[in-house]
Amino acid sequence: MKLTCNIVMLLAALYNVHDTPVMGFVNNLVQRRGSRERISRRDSISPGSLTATNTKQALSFPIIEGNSGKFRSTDARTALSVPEFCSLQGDRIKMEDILPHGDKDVSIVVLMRSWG
Amino acid sequence: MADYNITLVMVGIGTSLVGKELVKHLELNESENIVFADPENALHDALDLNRGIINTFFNPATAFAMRDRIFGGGMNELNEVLAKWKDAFYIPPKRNQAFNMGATLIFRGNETLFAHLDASPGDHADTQRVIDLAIKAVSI
Repeated sequence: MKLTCNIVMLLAALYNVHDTPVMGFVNNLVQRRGSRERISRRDSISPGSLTATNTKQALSFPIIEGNSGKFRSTDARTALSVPEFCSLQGDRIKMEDILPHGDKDVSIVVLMRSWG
Repeated sequence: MADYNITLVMVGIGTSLVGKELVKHLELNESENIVFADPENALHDALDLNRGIINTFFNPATAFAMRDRIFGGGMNELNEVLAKWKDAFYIPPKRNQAFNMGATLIFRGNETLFAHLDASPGDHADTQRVIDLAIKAVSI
């Protein structure tokens, strides 16, 4: 009977702490480990060893890292085209004003953290 | 990257004025067509990038990133940055913007080929790897 109670209390405790910051941290840790393993497997394909023709297949584009579940790669470029931001001169611009429009044009977009 | 006709755009959360000071501090010449300012973090919101103190600052990704730098030979670069960081200490327009994480993306036309969403401070995409992937993307 005592053993049963202990098991029930243990299960209840586990259930109750599921959404606490501690379990959130543990979940992050577990997800990170899984993510790192996937990245590690992908990195085992050395980009330097690839030919132009098999690059897309071998690297399995798109490569998405660190997605919390909200990011949708299929419409990322479209989503970025909507908001306005500023040039260093203070002019209001949109991403579509500065990114190339060709189907084969490659661009790198780095969204930095706050400069503060 | 200009040789490969790859466009580079870097957008930071903050005002244009601070952005100007920063590129001057970093001695980034001719960066006006590369570096941009987003005072409202509108681009970060558009992609729903990682944010919030619990999800980011308490995320173990920072510890893993630091470990990778320490054992991967990246400490010299980090020390170089930290040495002159005190002269570039800026306060973001809004306090909670300090918890907005960044991202690195490679596009080919409208297609997303690569996206690294920073999970926590220090968890950035590897710069050389991004450049290599972009160059490869040009030849697809």
